[in-house]
Amino acid sequence: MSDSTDPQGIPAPEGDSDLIETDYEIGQDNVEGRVGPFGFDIHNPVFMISGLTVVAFVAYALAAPQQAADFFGWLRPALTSTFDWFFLSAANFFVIFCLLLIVSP
Amino acid sequence: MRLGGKESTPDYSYAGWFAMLFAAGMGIGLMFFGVLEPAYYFATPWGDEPLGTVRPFAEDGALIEANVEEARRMALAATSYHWALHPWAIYAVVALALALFTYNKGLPLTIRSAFYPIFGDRVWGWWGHVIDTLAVFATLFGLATSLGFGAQQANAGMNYVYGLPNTTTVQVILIVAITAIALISVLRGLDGGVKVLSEINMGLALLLLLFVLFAAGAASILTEFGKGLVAYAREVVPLSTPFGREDDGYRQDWTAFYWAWWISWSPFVGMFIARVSRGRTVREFITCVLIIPSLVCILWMAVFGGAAINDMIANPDTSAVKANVIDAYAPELSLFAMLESLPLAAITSTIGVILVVVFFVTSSDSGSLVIDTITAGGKVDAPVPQRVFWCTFEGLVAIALLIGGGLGALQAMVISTGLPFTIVLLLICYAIIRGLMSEPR
Repeated sequence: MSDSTDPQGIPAPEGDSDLIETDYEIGQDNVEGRVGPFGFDIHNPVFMISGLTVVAFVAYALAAPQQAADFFGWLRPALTSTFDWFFLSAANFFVIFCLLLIVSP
Repeated sequence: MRLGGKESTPDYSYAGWFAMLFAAGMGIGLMFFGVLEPAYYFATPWGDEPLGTVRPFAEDGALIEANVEEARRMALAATSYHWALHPWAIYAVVALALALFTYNKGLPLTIRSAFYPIFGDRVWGWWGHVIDTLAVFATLFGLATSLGFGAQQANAGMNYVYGLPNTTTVQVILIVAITAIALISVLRGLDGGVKVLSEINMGLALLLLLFVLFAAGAASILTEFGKGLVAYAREVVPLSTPFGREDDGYRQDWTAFYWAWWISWSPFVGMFIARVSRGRTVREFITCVLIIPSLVCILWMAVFGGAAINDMIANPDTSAVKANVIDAYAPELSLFAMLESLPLAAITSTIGVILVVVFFVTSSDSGSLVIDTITAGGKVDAPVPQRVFWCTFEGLVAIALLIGGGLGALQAMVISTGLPFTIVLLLICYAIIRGLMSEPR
């Protein structure tokens, strides 16, 4: 689909539709540019924030591996044993929700 | 109601579509847990049997004939529970929301679009940035840490089968190779890359499935599949009851862990499913994403788990599966240990290693497409170098963590994002209802 000719790459709905009216244009917050032979076209805040946080976390895990392992090694079992009822109920809800969508019009 | 408007037609054939659903969603998990989980539940060494079922081995390792049948039934039911309707329902919810708001409502293909009915135009501001960033974060770290662990598993398998040294150097080479193949696939785009790889993968996986099926006795394993379905249907309600149970080990360490894991992967898999599902009707979409993959997963577990359990029953003292899953817990070897009990182990183990590697290529590749789309604000035709950047970045993060340590810590962190995402998913269900109600019939 990346070879689509549509400017946003997403084809418009065919047939009757109920488009959401919004002033937002895809790519309005994007930064386009070229560095040497490489063109880029990124959503600036999301691209930068996620890129930098990832680098920060990797740096943290590399700088203090023991501390990171202790903390997250504690966090995950703590979450799954405290909130097991929540996970189980939510997953059941999703199954029922999907089954209802199949049988409803 | 059709995704992409009333008159749209599906972009992919059923075969190509299913291949991509599987390869992105579960392929690698099936390779890793297909033997491990049923075998583990069958002969759990300590008291966390699902629903407190019976144990087939006595303290001294002797087989207790009377308990075998019930233990086997519960093992299949408890495994199927984690791989059938529930995970696929989680994926279906995310995928349906994204497809609906992108293809029918004309919003960009990013997670934030699903929140439009709730937050309105605010989703284009900081609310949306936070949601999208979280999704990128979970996907990128999920992929990078699995890539690191995957390299370790593939290496352990190669060590077990061919005696190749088990070192960081080999693992780094594996990551570089996986990333390189993924790069080629990324450059070729969705149709030339992920789709072709998924189909190769499905072909190989089917071959392996058929081989194990016939080598381990087709009649008995197919009966097993039938019994697995019945057991799943009978036990799914007790297994999914959240309160009043005493099997903490199973419910918390396995079920809740799985749910958190599927949910933290759902932005990635859901977005990928949405991307390839344009032109399907909503009913067809949910039926196909929910029912058919569930059946295939139960079949897979019945075949691989059944073969492993057969081996444990037949040779309680010498079984390699028992040695590597129960006596010493070496999960990455469980598949190879099971294949060893069947004929032609050298060939099938090689196929196993190839499958593990190619499934990782497919994940790395489809993951890069998803991250690229989100970080380009929902554009699906962002410049190719950007996709190359994310794909390479994943590989580098994996290598850095592999050498420096911290893979486990960050994977635990990714799974922890399952909790906030569960709330996000519940909101999405509401948004789907709002979105579907306003569709013209």
